[in-house]
Amino acid sequence: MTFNRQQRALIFKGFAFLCSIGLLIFLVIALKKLIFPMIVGALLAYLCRPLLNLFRYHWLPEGIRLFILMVSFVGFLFVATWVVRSNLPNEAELLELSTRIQYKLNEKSAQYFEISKPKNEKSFISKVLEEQFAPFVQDLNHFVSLNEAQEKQFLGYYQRGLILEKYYQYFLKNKDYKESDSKREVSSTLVDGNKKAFQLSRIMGVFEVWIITPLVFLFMLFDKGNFSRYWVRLIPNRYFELTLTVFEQVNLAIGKYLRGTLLECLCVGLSMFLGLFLIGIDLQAAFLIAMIAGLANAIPFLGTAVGLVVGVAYAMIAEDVSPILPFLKQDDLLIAVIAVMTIVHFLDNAVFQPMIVGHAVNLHPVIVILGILGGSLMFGFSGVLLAIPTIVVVKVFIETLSKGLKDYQII
Amino acid sequence: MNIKANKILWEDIFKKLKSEKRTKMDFLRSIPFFQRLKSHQLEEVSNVLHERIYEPGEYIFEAQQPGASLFLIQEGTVSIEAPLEDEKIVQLALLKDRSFFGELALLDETPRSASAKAVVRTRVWALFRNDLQKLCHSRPDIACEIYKILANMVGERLKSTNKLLNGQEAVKAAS
Repeated sequence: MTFNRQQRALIFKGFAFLCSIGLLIFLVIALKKLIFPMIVGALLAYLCRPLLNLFRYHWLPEGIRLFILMVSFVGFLFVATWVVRSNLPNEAELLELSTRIQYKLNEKSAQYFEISKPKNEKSFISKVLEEQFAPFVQDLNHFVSLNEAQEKQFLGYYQRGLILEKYYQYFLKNKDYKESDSKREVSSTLVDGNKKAFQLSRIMGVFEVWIITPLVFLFMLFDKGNFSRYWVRLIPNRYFELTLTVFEQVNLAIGKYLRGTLLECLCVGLSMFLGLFLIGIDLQAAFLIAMIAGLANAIPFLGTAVGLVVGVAYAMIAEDVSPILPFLKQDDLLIAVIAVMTIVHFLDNAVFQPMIVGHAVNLHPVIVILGILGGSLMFGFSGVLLAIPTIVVVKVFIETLSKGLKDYQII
Repeated sequence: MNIKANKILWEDIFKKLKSEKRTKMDFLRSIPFFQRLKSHQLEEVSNVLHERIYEPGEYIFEAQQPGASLFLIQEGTVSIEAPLEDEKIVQLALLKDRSFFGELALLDETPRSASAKAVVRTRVWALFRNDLQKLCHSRPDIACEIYKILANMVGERLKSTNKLLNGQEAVKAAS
């Protein structure tokens, strides 16, 4: 059985194609940990590219231009890190926050579970609540409780006057609670020892993996299209124009979606910050909650829930709140937080989304939910984050490709 | 010895890269379409071009397909052909080195009015419409020059078509 040159070329191409697909699947599985940081780097480059285009002056030598861009980029990163760090709680504040959370958690759980009452006098609701949530509350309590070293640090800060008397009282009450549960104490010491070693190795692992992000970011940002041109060269002549058209459409759709989503997240974060500040939450906490809710907003449905949970959790432990709005009282904080979240969610759906993101990427809610669930099952948290952009890419790719194939009379 | 060999290898690689770049720039400079562009502008254009090689008889594009790129012939021969109603094909032009075709695709997605087929092994460079549109934002000076040339070209063609039509009408009237 002999083959002519064309048949041999076809067999070779088919074999090479199958091998490439196999290699790609193997690489995706083997380098699973690297994929998410790489995609983050590439997406960041996507977002920053329009800024780079603003800075293209032909009279400026290439080297100087790149140098200025690199310096500006590093400077921006430095300033952004500094702003975020200065708004994050320091060590003393973190210890104080843990103590407050633990105290409030015990206080609220005692109130809702009616711990002071004998079992037969408890209401039906508190019995159900206790049955369902007591193990979770205990886990949470264990998670936020201070270990021995942290307790010493706390006392040190208190003696130096960095922690208020009120929180010291909370600390003592938390300690009473801890001593009453000696079993938990033993297990927590064991866990603490392992936790430190585990955290160190985890931090090193994260550093190793995420070092790829700035490299991919810089490479993609400063690439003059050589990378994509190399891949286009491999495309057969017959599909050359079609490939360029499909690439371009997908490129436009991703860019539009990403920049739109980023702007939408920014608007949600800013409105939430303003709302939380107006109902009396202090600047630092309002900034943190708004930042988390704004970033989480990139994940449809889940984002709103994350914002709500963080906001409500803070409202439950907040103290000495002085609302700017005159009709609000301190006790209304929980309702006010829910109201702010609802208003922002409504604003997002009615104003931000239609105006900024538009209907460029119209996805059915069922597809969105299935995508997020599927992404989470396959790749964990990174899967949740990347599910929607991936669905957008696939959707635009299939739509453009099928239209192109018909236009070019290939199908 | 090794250092010397390494030096020769790297010098060779860089020499080759430089000479390839020079050849490409010389070729672009020789094309009427880009003659008004300055060297630094031509370099920007050369960064967005795609190189393609077509075998004899292979279609570069076919009539009625949506147009997306302008093609510049570096070496080879391209036959521009139009299909007739009786499935016959008429050759409209035979283009050689330093010619270009498919320029109207730079304006919009209108289907190609004719097919382009490589007669011999042909090396072409393609300028994609969307890359030109991107140049409008990043380098408007270059995009403006290219669109100006394109407008002149379309204007000239319109004039010559009008002349041809007027001539035919005059002949009809005389007969």
